[in-house]
Amino acid sequence: MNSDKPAANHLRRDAEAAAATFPALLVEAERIAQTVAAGLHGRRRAGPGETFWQHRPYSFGDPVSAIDWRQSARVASRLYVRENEWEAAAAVYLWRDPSASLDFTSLRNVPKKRQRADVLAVALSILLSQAGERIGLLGEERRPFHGRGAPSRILEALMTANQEGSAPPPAHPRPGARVVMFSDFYSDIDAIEASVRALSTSGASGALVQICDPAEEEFPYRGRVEFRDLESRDRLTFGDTGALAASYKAKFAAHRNALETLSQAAGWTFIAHRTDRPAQHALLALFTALGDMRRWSA
Amino acid sequence: MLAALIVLPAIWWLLRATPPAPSEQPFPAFVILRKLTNPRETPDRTPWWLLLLRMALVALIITALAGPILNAPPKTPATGPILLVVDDTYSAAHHWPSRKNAMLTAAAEAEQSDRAVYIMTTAPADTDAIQPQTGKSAREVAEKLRPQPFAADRNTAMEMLSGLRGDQSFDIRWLADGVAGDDDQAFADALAATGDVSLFIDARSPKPVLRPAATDGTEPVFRVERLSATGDWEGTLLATAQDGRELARIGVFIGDGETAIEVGIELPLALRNEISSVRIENAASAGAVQLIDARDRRALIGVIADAAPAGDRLLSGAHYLSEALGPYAELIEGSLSEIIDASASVIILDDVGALRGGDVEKLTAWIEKGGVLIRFAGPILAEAAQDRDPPLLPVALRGGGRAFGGALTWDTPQRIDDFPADSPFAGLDAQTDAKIRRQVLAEPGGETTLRTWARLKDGTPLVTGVRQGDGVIALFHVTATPQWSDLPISGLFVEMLRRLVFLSALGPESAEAEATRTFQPLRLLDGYGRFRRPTDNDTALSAEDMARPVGLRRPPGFYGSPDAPLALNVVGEDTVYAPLSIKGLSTNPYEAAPPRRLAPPLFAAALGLLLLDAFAALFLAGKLRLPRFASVGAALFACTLAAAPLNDAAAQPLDRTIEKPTSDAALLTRLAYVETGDPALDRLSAQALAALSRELYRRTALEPGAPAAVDPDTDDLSVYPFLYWPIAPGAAAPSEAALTNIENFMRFGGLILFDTRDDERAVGSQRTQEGEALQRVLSQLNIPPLTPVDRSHVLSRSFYLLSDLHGRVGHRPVWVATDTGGANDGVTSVIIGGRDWAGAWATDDFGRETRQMGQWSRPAAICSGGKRECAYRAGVNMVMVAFTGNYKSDQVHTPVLLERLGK
Repeated sequence: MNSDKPAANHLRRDAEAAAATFPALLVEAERIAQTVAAGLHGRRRAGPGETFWQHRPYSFGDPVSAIDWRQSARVASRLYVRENEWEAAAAVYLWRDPSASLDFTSLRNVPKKRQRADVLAVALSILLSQAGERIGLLGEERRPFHGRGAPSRILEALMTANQEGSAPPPAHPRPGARVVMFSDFYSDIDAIEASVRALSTSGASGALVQICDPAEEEFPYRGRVEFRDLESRDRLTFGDTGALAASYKAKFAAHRNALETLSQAAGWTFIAHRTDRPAQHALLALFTALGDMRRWSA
Repeated sequence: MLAALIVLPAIWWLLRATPPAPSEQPFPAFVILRKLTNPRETPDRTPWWLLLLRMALVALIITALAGPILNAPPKTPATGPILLVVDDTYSAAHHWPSRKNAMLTAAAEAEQSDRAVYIMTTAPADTDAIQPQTGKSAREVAEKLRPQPFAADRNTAMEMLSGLRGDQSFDIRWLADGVAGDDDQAFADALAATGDVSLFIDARSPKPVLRPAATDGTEPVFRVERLSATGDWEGTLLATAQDGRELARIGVFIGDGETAIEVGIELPLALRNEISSVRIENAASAGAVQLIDARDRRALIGVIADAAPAGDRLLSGAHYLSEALGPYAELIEGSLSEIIDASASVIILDDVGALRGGDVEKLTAWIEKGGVLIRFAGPILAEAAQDRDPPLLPVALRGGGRAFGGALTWDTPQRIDDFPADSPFAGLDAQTDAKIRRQVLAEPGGETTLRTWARLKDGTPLVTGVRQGDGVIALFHVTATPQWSDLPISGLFVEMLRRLVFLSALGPESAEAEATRTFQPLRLLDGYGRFRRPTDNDTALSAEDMARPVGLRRPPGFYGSPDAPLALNVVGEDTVYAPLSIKGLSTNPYEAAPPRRLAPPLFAAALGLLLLDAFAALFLAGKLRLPRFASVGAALFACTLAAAPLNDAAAQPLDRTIEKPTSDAALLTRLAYVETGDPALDRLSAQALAALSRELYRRTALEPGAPAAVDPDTDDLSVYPFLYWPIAPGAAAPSEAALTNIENFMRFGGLILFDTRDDERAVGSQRTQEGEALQRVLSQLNIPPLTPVDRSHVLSRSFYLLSDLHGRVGHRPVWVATDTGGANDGVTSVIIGGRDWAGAWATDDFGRETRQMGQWSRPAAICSGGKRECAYRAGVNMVMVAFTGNYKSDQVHTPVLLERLGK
């Protein structure tokens, strides 16, 4: 753990930097209103809750019991309705692919995919914890973290996690929870689809974030190249890689397309991110996917 | 071997067939890669440029192995051994490479056809017999052979030729230097008898030589000669000193049809005597160099006078001395060390009083070596003898002098008595009409009688002298001007001075050494006219050898002691220098270039290509990252750049840098005071001069800057016009450097105000500490006779009309230099007083006076406005004198002039 300390600090710093440009991420909680009550926190809008939020003029259809008579008595010819603040907390589960294929970068000044995935995960947890949401790791036995210490605990868990395989573990998050998966998804489409479907049937929705290296997308190789797999010992030699680029790109697009289709089928969001772009791009996409947009438009 | 080039196509095919090693890449998206069908396994082609590179590499190696030769000698049918007759003389040095090429060509020919080579050199050398050599060893000999600084000795060569076996016919090549010598035709005939001769002569070159020419004595004259008279020739004569300094550079032009021109080198004598060699620039030959030694130099006589030159040269001693000695020697003026460094043989001190310790030591050492010191009496020496015994005099002097024929003297002017027999003047006719009117007197005594070289009729010494070491000190008891006597305008004066000058053991005459003396070689000339250090083979020469022309074991160069070396030159005044003319021989020009083997550069190029190929292979396999490679290149480039400024260090200017305070003072006029080391006193001086500068700014056209503190020991005083020198009690005497500095300052028009600030305390004849300190300072300086300031002095009228120069106090007189009309137009260079002017002038930062004014015993009738105002006016007047000199004293005569105009 000690040896990971500088790396962890570095990661934490990057995550803070990425998160610094965003406000606290309040998860859109349409459905969790009824399901979750423990650890309430104000959602800064009117709704079911116990603390006073605002008075508003009476409008047709409001129950009479909602009228604040004391307040209405102060003003002539007007009735006021008392509203309390809506208080609810959501849980977000994160999963970061632990497989070796993320330990890759093609260029010197571009971070490894794993690094970018970790940064995104921690940045997201920072934003969530600022809004008071609960954050958990998918497949983790522990209860979701919340509060200001949550990002560092997420970070610690990410650094120590030693899972195998590139598919998300079977998990049963609470209904209405959100799941965010960070991976390159270079595995069988069927396996990914199965795990997403399992999660969505248990009532969770969420996002898939595919993190790619620019070389994986562009395939900039020429001449005779021997490719080596990172997860197995497989090697493939191509005599004229330059001629293969078009075919490779088509296959790559098809793979991504399949991912997009399966996430749409489950009602999830699919985000493709390249490591040579700033982390904020992916974070912004996540923000819009998970965020409570009504609060901003209101 | 070139047939191997056939394999090139095979190599080409082979290279095309083998693909370069694949570059290895890790890749995560293997899922997608696996789906890629039809992985084309056809090998990547070797890039065309790599192919080309490798083909060129192989071709280069094959060509190099074939052993190509550039400028290969033509295959000649001639057989038999080759005899190379090489004129390795000084005139062959002009175009030595072409001779070397001819030798190399011959060696290559011999190597090709396996013939023997004989090499015979005609310059005097230690070789006994000529040995046959192979072409290869002949090439080595040719590479090593250097031109000798001698002329060809064809007589000896002829003897060597007869030593060769005559039963075979030689292929003879005579590489001639083109200069005629003795027995040229006989030698050519002997060669023709030995074999088939071809004569090589370089027609193109003028081959200039330099030789001394007759001179009328005013300047050294050299004669530049060339062999061929066709075409214009332009060159430069370069005269250098012993230490390599360039003294003169003279353009020389010889027109078409002429072979020689005489060039005089016009230089001041001191520089002329420094010339140690004259050479034709860019002419690489010992014949184009003339070495010059002391025998060619004229005697140098240094003259030092204390009194600055008077307006009329008839009043200056140097004029009479130069008139008397001009025909025999050259007179130079300068500081003592300059004169001694210029190796003067005689030094004349014309009325010099005080000599500094360092100067006395230098002079004594110089006299011990054989210098002649001639001193003339005068007012300053008489003044100096009054107080103390000046050093370096043959006899002790009595103070004052003796005047004859004045209103109050009984004696009439005296004539000169016959010279004593043991005097250097013995034999001269003393019967002249010259009369002596004044003289300095020697203390009478036995020693004085012995040292008297000339006396007056009444027996008093006129010239005294003493031998000291190898040298002489002589004293004329009269001046070198006709003021004291008629002697300087008599013919006897010339004769007497000549006798004295020839007493000198230094200088030209002494170089005529005895015949048994030997001279060690010092620096010798090689054939190219470059200096070299002597080796063990170079032996010392006797005086007899030195007189003979150069030859074997007598190479040209400098011999003898480093101080006064003797020169031995290749080309003398009578050396024959004419073009060689031989009848009956075929002549050839020299070949343009020697044969050159091409294999080594070809192999080097192949090696370079091999390296390039290795890099290219690495690069193609992805093992070599270009960015890193580029950064290494950039680092190398940066290193080169960093190393480059080192060369600029050599381009620094040689002038002494001017220090900041000096340049500041030069740019803005400012007053200066001498730092005493007493902080309170220095602060007072600074305040006083600042206040005085302010008053000057306010009242006059002078706008001085902030006053400067100077240390005469280290600072350059020449940029200050006015120096205030408060004397602290117990101040030490200044150092020698400071004294020189101060004397220069005074000589070139500076004004020093010495202030002892003891006016109140110095009552009667009581001496104060400051007074004693001033005494210590002044005793070392050459201070002119002093006089009190009176109302008619220019100091009293230079800006304000003042009755006196008042300071804070004012009891005792203020002293200035007597106006003798001599130095600096008679403007005083010192003001000496004790009136504490600084105390009167000084104000603090707010303009408040810092010192109370004291008592004045002298009236200040003209000066109104308070005592301090009077002190400021005195200060303004003093500074004005420093700047305008005696400008205002001219107006003393205005009333008289007006009166005359009115009439």
